[in-house]
Amino acid sequence: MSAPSPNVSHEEFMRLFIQSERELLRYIMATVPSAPDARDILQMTAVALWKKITDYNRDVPFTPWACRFASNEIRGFLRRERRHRRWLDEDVADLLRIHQEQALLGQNELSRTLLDCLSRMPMSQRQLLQGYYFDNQSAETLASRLRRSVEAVYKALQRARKALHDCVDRKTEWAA
Amino acid sequence: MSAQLPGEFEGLAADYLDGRSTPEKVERLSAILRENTAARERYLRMAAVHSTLATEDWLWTEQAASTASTAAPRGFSWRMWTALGMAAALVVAMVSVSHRSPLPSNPPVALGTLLFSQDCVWRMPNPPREGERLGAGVLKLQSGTALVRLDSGAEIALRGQTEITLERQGEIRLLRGDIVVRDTQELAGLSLHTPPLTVTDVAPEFAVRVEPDGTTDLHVLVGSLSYVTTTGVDQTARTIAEGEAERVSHTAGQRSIPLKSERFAAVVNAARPGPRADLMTAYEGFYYPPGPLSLADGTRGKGWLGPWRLRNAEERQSPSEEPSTPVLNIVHGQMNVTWPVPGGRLGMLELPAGATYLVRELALPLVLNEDRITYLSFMVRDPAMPGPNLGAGRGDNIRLTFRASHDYFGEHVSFGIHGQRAQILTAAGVGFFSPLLVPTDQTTLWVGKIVSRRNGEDEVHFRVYGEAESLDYAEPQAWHVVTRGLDLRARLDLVLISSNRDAPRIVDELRIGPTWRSVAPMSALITAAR
Repeated sequence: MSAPSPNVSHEEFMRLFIQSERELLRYIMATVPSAPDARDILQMTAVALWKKITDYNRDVPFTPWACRFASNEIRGFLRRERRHRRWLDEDVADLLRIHQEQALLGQNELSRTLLDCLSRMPMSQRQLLQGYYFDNQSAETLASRLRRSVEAVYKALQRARKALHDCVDRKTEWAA
Repeated sequence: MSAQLPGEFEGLAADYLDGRSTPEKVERLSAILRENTAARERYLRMAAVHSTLATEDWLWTEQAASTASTAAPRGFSWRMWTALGMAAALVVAMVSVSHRSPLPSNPPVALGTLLFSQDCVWRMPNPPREGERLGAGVLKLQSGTALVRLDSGAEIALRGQTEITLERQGEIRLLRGDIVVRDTQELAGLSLHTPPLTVTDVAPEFAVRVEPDGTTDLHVLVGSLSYVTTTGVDQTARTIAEGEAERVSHTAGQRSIPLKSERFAAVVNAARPGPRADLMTAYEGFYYPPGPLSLADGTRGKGWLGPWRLRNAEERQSPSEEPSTPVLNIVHGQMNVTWPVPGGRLGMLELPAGATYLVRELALPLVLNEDRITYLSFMVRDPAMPGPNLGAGRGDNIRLTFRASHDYFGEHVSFGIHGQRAQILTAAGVGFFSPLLVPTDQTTLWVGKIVSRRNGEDEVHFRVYGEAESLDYAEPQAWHVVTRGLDLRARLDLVLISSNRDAPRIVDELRIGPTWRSVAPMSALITAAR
């Protein structure tokens, strides 16, 4: 690992990275939606960023610069995983990234709107989403706990997310 | 390039986000995304919601804050661990650990709420009451109209002799009688069983009738519905389209019948779910002549033992000195009342700048160790302060608190606004907070609900309405604050209005009653149309 630029300290790099890491993770999850895999890619991105921190120009925003490194790591991941045929093709991932910058720009507003939409959902749906996303419970675990089929849980998750999409669309002009 | 999305797209994208795509599905999704710009944009919106739910921990902790501010602290989130991992990575290696507490092992037993019952005769030893939270079990209606809202979102209107079982979350069994179901949100799905069939994919609105011999009529009013028969060898799912109906029986199989059912709204409206102010147990409309009124003369309203008073020495803790003046300042026309409140623009109470504490004793206390439901409503307006609007100050708060005269500082239930956030406070510093900001510079209507249980968890709900929001014929599906894990035993016989603000504040229309309709200012001709 090469030494960092003396004008970007360890602390400063940490601060920049931590400020950007959630945006980076969401950027990665658009192509690799599995959170554990996406976090692995995020960590590889962090290592790559640290190696190249001497190239970082403070005059440019950190997140877009870091997203380029994340793109490289995503490509590497997709190549390594190609034989499993679980992930989108590399050329499709590249196409998605063209649209992504715009999506990242509206993230703060999206999060606030989502919070509002979540608060208006029935408790059972919120708990389902929370179990799936926050508590990392599998659909199988949730199905067992709720005494429903796994298929029904996935369907419920999809409906809940659809309701959130619709709510967000109603509250913003995002869909326009 | 096409703006049209293939019908399969949403399902393919959702499966991909959930990590359950087959290679063939991934290939198909890739092909669509490659060719269709609109699909890419839609997919990225779906992915943004998915990734935000997965990465923005504060969404859930804010939600949790609205359920229990005193909940045990969670373990490190992935984010904290990633940050720690980052630090470690720069020295040795990266570590990422996800460590989160699981969902409560005992999910709430309540499956729904009896929203209203009109002219209902129940064939049950302990008939449910309007507003009651319903657990698993059977509801036997002899006559009248009842409306149940399941926590999963569906609303069910029961008419006449009807027997229905709430089995588990989002799952019901109709044993006999008539129901009309509205499930417009379709959030979690609903499974409905009758003797010969199971509805596996419900329509947004449909009606079911089960005869005493189990013969089932399905009428699809909106959307389409799928069902499978549970007898015989043919387990193939059948679909009924909108405007069609089928009869299914053990003996005669399935056949089409004419659609013959009223819409959900018509059923509810026929029951005329109007206000029931006559059921209020306590009321104070501050309907006095304008001007200062001595506390001793503040005796109007109903359901009170005596007039308003200041806190006595034993009830003063903070501040220990009584800051309030022994006068009610009555004003008229100072509050914009957008809800149908008779006389709501006449008498109202102006709380002066600074701290105010007013106490009044209830004739019918809230007994929290009994099975009861209590609703309350209260109107508050904070007139704009002169000078630049800097928002609510740190000390700016207004509360409506129920306390016990024999143990003033013990268990209590307090509804309030602090720093623009709705709060519920109870004993021992237990607080529940809303992540949402309440409207400012307008009249707000507070509605609270206290579900007390002799055995089991008590629930307190709180919602703040802005001027543009109207009140429905039944309580809202979503409250701003909902408590969790409460078990209160107190007998609360005092109402305390406490306020602290740098400028005057107006309050009015304090209502306490056993049902939503007894306290909610709603039109007498409210309709359920949607």
